[in-house]
Amino acid sequence: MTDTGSLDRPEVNYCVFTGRVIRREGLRMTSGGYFTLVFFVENTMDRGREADDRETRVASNTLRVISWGRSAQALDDKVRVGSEVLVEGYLSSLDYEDRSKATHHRMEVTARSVQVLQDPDTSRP
Amino acid sequence: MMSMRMPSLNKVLITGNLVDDPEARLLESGINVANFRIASTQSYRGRDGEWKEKTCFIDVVAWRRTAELIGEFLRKGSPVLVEGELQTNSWQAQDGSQRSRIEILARRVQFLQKERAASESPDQGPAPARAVRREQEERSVPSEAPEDDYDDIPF
Repeated sequence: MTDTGSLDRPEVNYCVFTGRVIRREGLRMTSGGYFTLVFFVENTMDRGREADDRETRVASNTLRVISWGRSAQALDDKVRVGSEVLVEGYLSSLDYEDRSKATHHRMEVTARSVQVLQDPDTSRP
Repeated sequence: MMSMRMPSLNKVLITGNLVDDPEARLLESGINVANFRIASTQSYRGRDGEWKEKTCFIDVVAWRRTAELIGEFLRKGSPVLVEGELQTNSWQAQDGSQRSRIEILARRVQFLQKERAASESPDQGPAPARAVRREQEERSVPSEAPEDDYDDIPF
């Protein structure tokens, strides 16, 4: 293991995942003039087979993704419910109040890159 | 055109400091679990050209041996690098509404805290609960998922 002297704090925040778009909101503009697009991706991971080999276990997660600026505008035409996507980005969080003034903490993925791997209209084998 | 299978991918890499002591416990099943939150800071250049920092707070869960070591060696302020995958944790709130949150399922946690030299005062800097044992040179510990095998079967 490398042991250097004084080391600057490393800044690493990266995530990449695939999944199917299960919900999306419309393109919006913030008060600062930035376009945003929010969509939800269902990521499914195979977890191998049961001991009796009858079925494959699957873990399913719903991830909130936000895209900003020109990317958001470009994705507005491409990303639809049912699209299969590959998302690269970083984790971000925010605290917000609901209508009852309770504070909630939310994590989401800010997308740097979104690839649409399959459109929902494409028939699957 | 070659027909491709949809890749199944979910990876996250993040560094940060623990915002509080981790919650580590032993479940009735005999499996260790640890929960902690890290503050991860990113530098970026703003519109005015000035460098700025933005901090986000990320929840992490670890299991088995990794959880045990986290409970033993990490404390508030400990710097870590977490490798894992994103997962959704869902539960029913007291008001009956369904809540969910994204967290990291840690597959591997690297403890980035440098061992203090013998000459350093124990009061300086964030103090781990105890010094790392000499025989434990390796600080990155692979984790095991709670129910499944780590190796995905590709077909």
